[in-house]
Amino acid sequence: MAKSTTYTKKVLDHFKNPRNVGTLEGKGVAVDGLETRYAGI
Amino acid sequence: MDIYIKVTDDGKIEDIKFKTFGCGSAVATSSMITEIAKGKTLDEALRITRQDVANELEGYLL
Repeated sequence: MAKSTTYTKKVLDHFKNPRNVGTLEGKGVAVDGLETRYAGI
Repeated sequence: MDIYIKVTDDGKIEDIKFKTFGCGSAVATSSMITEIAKGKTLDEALRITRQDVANELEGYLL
């Protein structure tokens, strides 16, 4: 039996309407990605 | 993928944002992670697992 390739409704919802997209700056902000680059704390 | 967090003096994640240039799944999982982590302490956020995210997304595939 072939595996499904249909995403769940929640995955599609978060893909089409992603929450909390953007960046933050200022005191108390830290960023982490593939490598830690900045901590404004 | 980059994740930005703003932490209060008592160690709670007050605000969280992300940027990613990944695929649809990366966008969806990043979005869900921010929803789960917001309002948690750093210790609580560090305990979020891949399974937690998958559960909240009701799995990835039907």
